[in-house]
Amino acid sequence: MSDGDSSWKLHILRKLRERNSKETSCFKELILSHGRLFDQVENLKKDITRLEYQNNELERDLREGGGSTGGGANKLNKRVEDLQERLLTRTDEVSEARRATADAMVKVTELSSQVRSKDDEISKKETQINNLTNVQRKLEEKINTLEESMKNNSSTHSRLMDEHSELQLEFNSQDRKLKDLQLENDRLRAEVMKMKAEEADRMNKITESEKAAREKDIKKQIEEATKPKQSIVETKSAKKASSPDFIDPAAVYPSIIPEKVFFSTEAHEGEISALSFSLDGHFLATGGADKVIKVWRVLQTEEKVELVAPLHGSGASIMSVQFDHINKYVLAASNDFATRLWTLGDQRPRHTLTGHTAKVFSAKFMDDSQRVITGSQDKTLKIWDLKQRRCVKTLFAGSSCCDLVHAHVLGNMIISGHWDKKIRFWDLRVSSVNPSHELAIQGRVTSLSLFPERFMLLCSTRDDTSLRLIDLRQNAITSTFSGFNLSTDWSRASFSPDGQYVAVGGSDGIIHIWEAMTGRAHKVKKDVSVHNRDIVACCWHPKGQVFASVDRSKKLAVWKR
Amino acid sequence: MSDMDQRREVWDGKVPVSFILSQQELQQAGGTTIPEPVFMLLPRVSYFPLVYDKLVKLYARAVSASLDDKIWLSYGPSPLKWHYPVGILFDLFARSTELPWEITVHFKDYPTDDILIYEGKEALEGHFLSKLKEADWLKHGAKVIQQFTPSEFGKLWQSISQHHFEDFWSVNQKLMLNIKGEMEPFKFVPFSIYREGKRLYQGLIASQDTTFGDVMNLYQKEFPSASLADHQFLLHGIEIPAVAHLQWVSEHLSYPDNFLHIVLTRKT
Repeated sequence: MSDGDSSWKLHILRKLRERNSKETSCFKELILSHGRLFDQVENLKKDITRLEYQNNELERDLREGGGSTGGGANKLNKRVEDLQERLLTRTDEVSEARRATADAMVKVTELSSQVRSKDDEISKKETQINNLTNVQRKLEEKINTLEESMKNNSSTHSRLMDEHSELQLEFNSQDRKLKDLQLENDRLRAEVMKMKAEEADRMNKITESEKAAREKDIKKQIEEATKPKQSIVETKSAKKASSPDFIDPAAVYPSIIPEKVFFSTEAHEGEISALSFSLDGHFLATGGADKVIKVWRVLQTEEKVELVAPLHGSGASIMSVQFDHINKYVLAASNDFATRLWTLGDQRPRHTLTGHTAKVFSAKFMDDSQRVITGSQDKTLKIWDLKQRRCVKTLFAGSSCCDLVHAHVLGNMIISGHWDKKIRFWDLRVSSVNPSHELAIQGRVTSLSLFPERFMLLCSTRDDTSLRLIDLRQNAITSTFSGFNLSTDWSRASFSPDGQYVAVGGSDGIIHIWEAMTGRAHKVKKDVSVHNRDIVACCWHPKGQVFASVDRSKKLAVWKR
Repeated sequence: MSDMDQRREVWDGKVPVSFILSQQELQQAGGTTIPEPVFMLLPRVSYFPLVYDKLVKLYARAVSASLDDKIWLSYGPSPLKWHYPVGILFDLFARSTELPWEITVHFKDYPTDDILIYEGKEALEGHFLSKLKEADWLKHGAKVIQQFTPSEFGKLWQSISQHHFEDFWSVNQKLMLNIKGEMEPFKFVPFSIYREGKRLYQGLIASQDTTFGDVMNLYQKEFPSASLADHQFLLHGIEIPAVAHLQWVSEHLSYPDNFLHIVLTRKT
């Protein structure tokens, strides 16, 4: 360190000392003494207060201890002082204790207020808890109800599911059935279509063949026309010959007993069950299981029978056939539950009368040919109006009707024969649906034939096989002819036009003929017959000179004396 | 070492103070007996709050001050900042006054705009320690003070509050050396310059090869408009020669917070 250095350091030191002496030293003693004096004053003040207090105490003691003097008083004073001191200390203690108590009281009040507030809080919480429990209970109840409803729902659901599955199963089975039925339906439809096609083919063929036949006829006529002379002669002779053909309705022609077959043919392709002459005797109709009706022209004088035309259109076997009184219509009952009408002129089916629910066994024109009566296996009779082409009345017979006749001689009456061995009489003049009377017969009725002039009814029965003659005026059986067998339930017996004879064809191929009045039997021998067996129907020509018979083996035979 | 003398003289420097209660507050409180003024010698390196307890004991009853009323001091109209050492306040305001320095004691109407709210002795200690750390940051990058233990901090503050020279320097000596305990020039010298009615100025100045005059020049350079011809730079109430080495001045003449608190004041 250089002197220069020390010089400023010393300068600083000197200055500092100067400063201290100026600011500090001159005041130091003064202030110190002031401080001492200040402290002393404070102490003295305290002493004075204490002494004043003592003095006061002493003065009070002195006043209280007034009379007492001497050493005893002194002693007493001392004791009093002691006691006072103790009293003071006690008072202090008491005041202390009081203070403590007060503090404690304060604390207690504080704590009690705290307790109160806590109580309040607790009660609040309790109410809250109560509320919450209520809410909880409610919720639980809700849950229970919901669970119950859920259970119900689930059970309902399962039940519904079961039902659904059941229905599904049923639906499946029904569906399967439906499919089967549809298949069946398709098959049947195809079959029907096929059959229809066949039918159409057949019809076409028939029409063609008819056409060809007609052309042939025309050719023949042309040929005949080329030989005018001969034809004239022939026409003349025909005229001569044909004059006896006209039937005089009033005249009674003697009937013959057939002895010789002058015409026979295999008329149908199945068994023949229906046979009928027209009222004028010009035509003969046959019908059978081949569903075809054949109309034949009967040339009596020339002893010839020609086929006029086949009538197609029936759906099943022909059970009965009849001409109307002007040869306009041919009526036939069929096994396909229907009754049909053909017009003879063009050989076309005109009407189909449907309504029976079973085979129709017999169909007959009523007098005016405007109405038709039918008897059926469905145990009903029906009356049809041809103008309205509908059924106008249904009679409930209670048994299958095999044959019926319209007996205008007895008023407007229908006589029907039934399989329950009864003949029922229906009076159409009364609107009753019940038969006016019945007649019991021993055996199933297969056919009825009326001879109106003598009010006689012929009926053939099966089981107790016989022919019976019934007098309608007496309503009683007058005679019975037996000794033969019938091959079918619809075998037809017949009166001769003059009422002289009755005839029936037996299952043995023999035609049995009886004289109606005497009961004398005539048998047409088998050796002259073309029928081997099972004759179904036979009848006389309206003039009585010609007789016809058909059998189950397709044969038609026309007889003369 | 002779240089300890300067430290000793700095430490021993005290100012006589007479505390009187504010007459205004006394009248407001309805006090009849005027309390006696109290005379004290306060070390320049100490702080006023260290005698607050005594003052409160003497005067609080007279103005019936409550616990909420904070004590504060004023010289004339100027409130005295409690966190400044007594020496700075004396040099700033009372350089030319007659001694003893008369200071008024207040309990009401705390001037919150002018001085910090006094929160207790702990606040003062905190303020002192933060200044100490700031100084060491400037001197050694705060490395030395980071190694101080809590007990050393406690001893340092206790030595100030009890005004014990040996205890103080036994700890404070460490802050004069570097981290290895060697003599070494400080990075920067912590200083601040106070001027009445102006904001305090702190600048950066290295200690190596600088003098106290450099500090004055720095201030002149910073405030060129300030006419300093009739002014003097006072440290501990005295003018320091401009040639004094700054390093030495910092080591020997710093306040206990290790700052050179320089007051710029008009020459008398």
